[in-house]
Order: sequence, then C-alpha cells, then structure tokens
Amino acid sequence: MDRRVALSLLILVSGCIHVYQSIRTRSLDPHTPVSVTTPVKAHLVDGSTVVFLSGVTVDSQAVRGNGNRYSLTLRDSSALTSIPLDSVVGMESFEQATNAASSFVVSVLATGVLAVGAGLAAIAIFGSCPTVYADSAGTARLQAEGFSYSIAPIFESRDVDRLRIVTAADGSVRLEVRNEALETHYLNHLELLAVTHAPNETAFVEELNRLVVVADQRSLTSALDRRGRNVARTLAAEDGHVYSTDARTMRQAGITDLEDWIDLSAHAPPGVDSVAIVLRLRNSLLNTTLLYDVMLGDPGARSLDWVGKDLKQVGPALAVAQWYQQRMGMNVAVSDGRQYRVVTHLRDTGPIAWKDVAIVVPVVTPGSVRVRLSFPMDNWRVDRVAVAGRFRRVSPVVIPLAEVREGTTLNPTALASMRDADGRYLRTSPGQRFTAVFRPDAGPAQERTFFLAAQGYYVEWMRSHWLRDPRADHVFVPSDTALLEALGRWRMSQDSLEALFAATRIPMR
Amino acid sequence: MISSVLVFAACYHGPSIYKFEPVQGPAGIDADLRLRSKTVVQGELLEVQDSSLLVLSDSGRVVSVPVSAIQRGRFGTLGDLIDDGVNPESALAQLRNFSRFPRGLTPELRARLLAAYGQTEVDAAR
Repeated sequence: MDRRVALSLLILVSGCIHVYQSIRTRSLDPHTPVSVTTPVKAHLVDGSTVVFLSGVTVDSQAVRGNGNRYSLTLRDSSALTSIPLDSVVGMESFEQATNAASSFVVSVLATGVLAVGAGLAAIAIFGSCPTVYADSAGTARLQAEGFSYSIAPIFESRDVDRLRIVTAADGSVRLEVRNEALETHYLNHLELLAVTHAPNETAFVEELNRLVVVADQRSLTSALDRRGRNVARTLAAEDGHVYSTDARTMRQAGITDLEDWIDLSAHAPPGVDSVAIVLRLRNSLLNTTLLYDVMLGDPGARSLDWVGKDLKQVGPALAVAQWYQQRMGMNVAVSDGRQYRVVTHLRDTGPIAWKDVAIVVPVVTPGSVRVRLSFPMDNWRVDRVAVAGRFRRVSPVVIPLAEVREGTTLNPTALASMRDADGRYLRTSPGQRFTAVFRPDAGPAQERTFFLAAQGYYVEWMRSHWLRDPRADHVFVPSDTALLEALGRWRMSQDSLEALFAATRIPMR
Repeated sequence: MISSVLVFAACYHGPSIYKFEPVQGPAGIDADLRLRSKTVVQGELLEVQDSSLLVLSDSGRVVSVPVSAIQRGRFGTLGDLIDDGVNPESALAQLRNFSRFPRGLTPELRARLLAAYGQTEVDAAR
C-alpha cells in the first residue's frame, strides 16, 4: 500500500441480509377472466407449450399476450398473441416469493424434546445459538458457538471458529453440537476446514471468515483504555485476566457517549506494509441484555409478530441489521499520526465461547503501528492482544460432514440436511444434541489446525414473563436510546446476570 | 481522497423467475440422477409420476426412472432435492411444477412423443 495516499475509510460489512427466494407456481383457470403480469405457461391439447414471459389476459374467448408456442418435441416454435380457450388444457403462472416457508425442508432429531418446566422457562436467559464441544480427556470442552445473533431466517449467517482439538484415535474429528437454550436452532450447514502450517505458525480466522496463518507474535508496547489505564499487562497473555470497561466510564454513558476504546501500540518489522492483530475475546452479556430485555422482552407479545413477520421483510430487517452493524461489534482503526481511520469491523462473536481472531491492518508509520479498538461500553471481554509481524492468507482443505450421530445411532436425514448450504435444515429444540463426525485425510508431517464453519439461524422462545409484563407499547426500534437502555440495565445487574446466565443452561437429554 | 463507503449486501439465494430456465422457456428442469446401481441419468424432466420420473436423456431417449432407485437427484439450480433416506414426497410435488408436462402426458401424447424420438416404449432405468 502506498503510504503517501490517504487511507480510504472503508467499512466492510462482513454479514449480509440473506434473502431466500423461491418460485411460487399458481394454476390459472382458463375459464376465469384474469390479468397476470408474471410469466405464464399454457399447455395445449396437442401437447405444445406456450410461454408468455410478460403475462397474459384471459377473457371468455382466449388467452392473450405475447407468447411463443413450442411443439411437442420443442423442435419448432412460433410467435403468437392469442390462443383459443378450448385448446388449453391448463396454465400456470410463476411468481417470486421471498423467504417462503415452502422453500425450506426441515428435519429433526429423533431424540425427544426436553419438557421445560414453567419455572425454568420463566427465568432462563442462557442463550445465543448452538454450542459446540469436543472431548478432551473425557471432558466436554467448549469450542465454539455458532452464528451468534442470527435471530431470524433473514439474518442467517456463517461463522468460522478455530478449534483446539486433537483427532480421535481413528483420525476422525467429533464435535458435539448442543441446544442448551430456550431457542429453536435451524442448522443449515456444517463443514470442517483444515489448515496446514509450520510449528512456529498459528492459524486464525479473520473478521470476514477468511483464514490466515501468522508468525512472530509479539506483545504490545502500549495499551491504554479510554480512561488512560495501562491495560497492556491484562492483555499480554491468555490467562483469564480480561479487559472490561471501567465502571467509571460506564457511569458517564449518555445518548451521545456510548463508546469505550483501547489504544494499542506495537512494533512493526522493517519493510512490512501490514501486520496482523491477534485477539482472544468474547462478548459480555450486554448484547444478551439488548436482545432479551430491550429487543424482545420490552415489547412483549408484539415481538412475536416482529420476529415472525417484520423481520422476514428486507426493509425492516435491513434497518435492524444496519443499525446493529454500525453500532455493535468492534471497529478497528489505524492512526496515521493525526487521526484514527477505521479499516475494518469485527462482528459480535457471542458471550459464551472465546474466539481467536486475527485482523490485518496497514502499517502507516514505518516500524510501528497504532491501533484503536472501539466498541460500545463493556460490549467485550478481551483476554489477549498481540501483534504478528508475519502473516499469510491460506486456502483451507474443506472436509465435509461425514456422519451425524445421536448417541450411537446414525441419522442420515440430519446428515443430508447439513451437508450443503441449501434449503434444507436440521431443527433442534432445547436439550437436544448430536455428534457431527468429520473424517479428514491422514495428517501431514506439519502442524494442522481445524476450524468449524457453521451456518444457520435460531429463533428465541418468548419467555412467559415477557408476555405478561411488556414495558413498551411498540416493537423494537433500532436506536442509540435502546442501546443506552440496555447499557443501564446491564450495568445495574451484571453480577447477578452472569451467574443466572451460567445457571440456566438447559440440561442435555 | 478519503472516501467512506458503507457496503451492505442482500445475498439472494434461490432461483429468480427472470433467470430460471423452466420459467423462461418451455423445457422442464435439468435432472441429474445418480442411481443406486451406479447408473447416471441426465436430461430434461418431462413428467413426474407417482413413483417415477420421466426424463428425456441427453442421448435423446425417453427414460423412466423409479424414484426408489435414485440415490441422489440434483435438479438445475434447485440443488439436491432427492436424497437417499429422505422422504421424496415434497420434492416430487415441487418438481412437478417444473417438469415439461406438469399435468402429465395422456396416452396419445406419450405415444406421439415416443415416436418422435424413435421409440415404441419408454426405456426403463435401473
């Protein structure tokens, strides 16, 4: 990159609104007058087919429109503008449908659904998408949480998470996917990604789900938060000592002041134009408070329609998504010596599993890099930050899902549902789990790191107390007012909320 | 010049009526059928019957394929709609709309079609 050129400010939105479109077919009665503007096909008594791409008008005598008639074998065709009704066997029109339920095929697990007691359902707050575990010496160790915050079909997304696993004795990779929340999960696609690298290299996922291998990781030379606190030691090692926003900063939150930041400095090797910032982090429960209390809980029963209907339309969904994308997550900015310019954005990753990511940033001043991580106050828990002087982007080996097991029983339908990113889903209910089995080829002599790519969405169950005690007379409106409200509630209930969150995991069947 | 660009994409999945060939033309949807016997039948979907598919194969033969013999059926841009172990009922209902003859072939039309392709009987795939 030419350092003399001013940095362009590019905010890349790493997600997208997923619009699932299908084609709805409707039979037209040739004896009923009608006007249709979408494509129509008419099937005639002699076996020929007439295609009207711009639609038709049907009256008592004929079907009229600009059409092409094709013979039985399709070898001959001719243009026409009308066909007599008595030559028509049948007609259908084709319309575009978006996010139509008929375009989805859903399979379910055979394991019975857990009956959730009213008491637990009333208070359960544990949530946020499927959790993924791997066996570690007989203990299930949390590896990842998939597609966090994909709270409606239109927000379906793909998450890529680094795994810390070893293969089983037979060389397979086995991951247990659980539904531990009062949610219905719709899993579209699971696949394993493998990256081979040297022993002195480490593989990470970037903010746009690409994979990168880094080397030469070094500690920061400086890390100061918004209040000027030196947090370099807190961020130096993966040790459970994590960064959170200072309480004094949170007390001064206001409608025009909702941000916290950490300013980082690090050496950059000579001659490089970019370095990789390596982070180990997860979200706090601020987001959960925003989702459960403000977005879903406050409007009460209105939220049912909001999720079930409003969020199926591109307009309302885009408004929520744009606000969320701009407001939440984490902006990564680089200083050019005079000011910080945002170079990329990291989406929220979820409050349950730690995520290891690498973010490539430009080196503007030779020999050093100054980066600002900015985010809504207390939105993150950051365990470690380092800077890697060397990195390379890599293309992984893709390992498709080989088996889905419920206990020892194979479930081929579930496997078919999650083998490709398509219109088929596996639906899981609270308390259900399955084992996803992958069979990578025998490992090379070099190191290998695995990543799980998971795509899907989930639907939050409405809690009974939300329905009983709504606090708002309208559905959620994306705004800084809503975030400030969530921040206030989170600040007052942090400790008890964290304990309750952990305690209300739905037990597995 | 510093420019600020917010990019937000709507990612469309699934067929569009403006591009989907079975809507834009008279032919039925492309079918790629892998049978359990390792036989492959590829061609145009002519008709969806109760338990079999009638296909005009790429080699110009009219072939009947029992649904029960299909290990995997891929159809145009709709993807894999028939899969081993998965109930094909909903898939067949969807596919019928995109076959060349969604209302089926009368015996007379079937005979004329076969004659046009030099056949007196439908080939049976196994």
